[in-house]
Amino acid sequence: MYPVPKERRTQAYAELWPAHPRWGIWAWWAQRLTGVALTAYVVWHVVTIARAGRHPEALAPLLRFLLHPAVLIVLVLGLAYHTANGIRVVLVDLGVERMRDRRAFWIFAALAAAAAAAAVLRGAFHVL
Amino acid sequence: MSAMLWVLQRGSGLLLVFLVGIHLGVHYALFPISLRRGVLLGVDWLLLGIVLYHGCNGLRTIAHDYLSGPRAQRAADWVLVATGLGLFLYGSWGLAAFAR
Repeated sequence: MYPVPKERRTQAYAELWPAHPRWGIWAWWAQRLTGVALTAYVVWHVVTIARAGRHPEALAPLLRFLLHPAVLIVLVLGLAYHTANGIRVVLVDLGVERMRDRRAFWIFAALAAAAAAAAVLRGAFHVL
Repeated sequence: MSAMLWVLQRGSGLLLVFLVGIHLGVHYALFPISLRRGVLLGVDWLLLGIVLYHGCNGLRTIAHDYLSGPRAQRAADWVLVATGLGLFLYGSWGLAAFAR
């Protein structure tokens, strides 16, 4: 399951290899990673859109880039994961203990993937 | 303080589900709904503020995990507050251009 041999886990990047790794730690790291990436995207989006508001000739290429299938897929998948896992974490915090289960995570991830696929198909490929 | 920020992070996250949904739904034409221009601008302005809050608060959590000592943590807080407020003002100024 882990690409790093057990005896080396405590040496390099010790904080990445908890003493008792559980699947939840991967969900947590992915939540952080997508959160930081989405924040970076928001900063870029705010700056470029604000510029395009004042320079209308910059708007068309910007929208073309945002509607590019590859851009949309990465963006919407990251967003869908962060949203689905975030809702699951809120439910755990509210005391819904079965949301801690691996199965709950995969159900949420599947719903997120389906929503992302529908959004990309409609937004970038104009089907559905 | 941290407990309140923790609740606000969840609250703002749940609000963002709806705001981002409307934002993507309208701008990418995912749903057959039409909003008045002013209403859509209001949604986007609200989204701007809440998403910047949510992002900065998330970065603060990460910063506090890696920075030890109250001085470094407080410095990170001020950098994030200043950056977030600056981006909110710049983004609001940018959105205002679309109102005309």
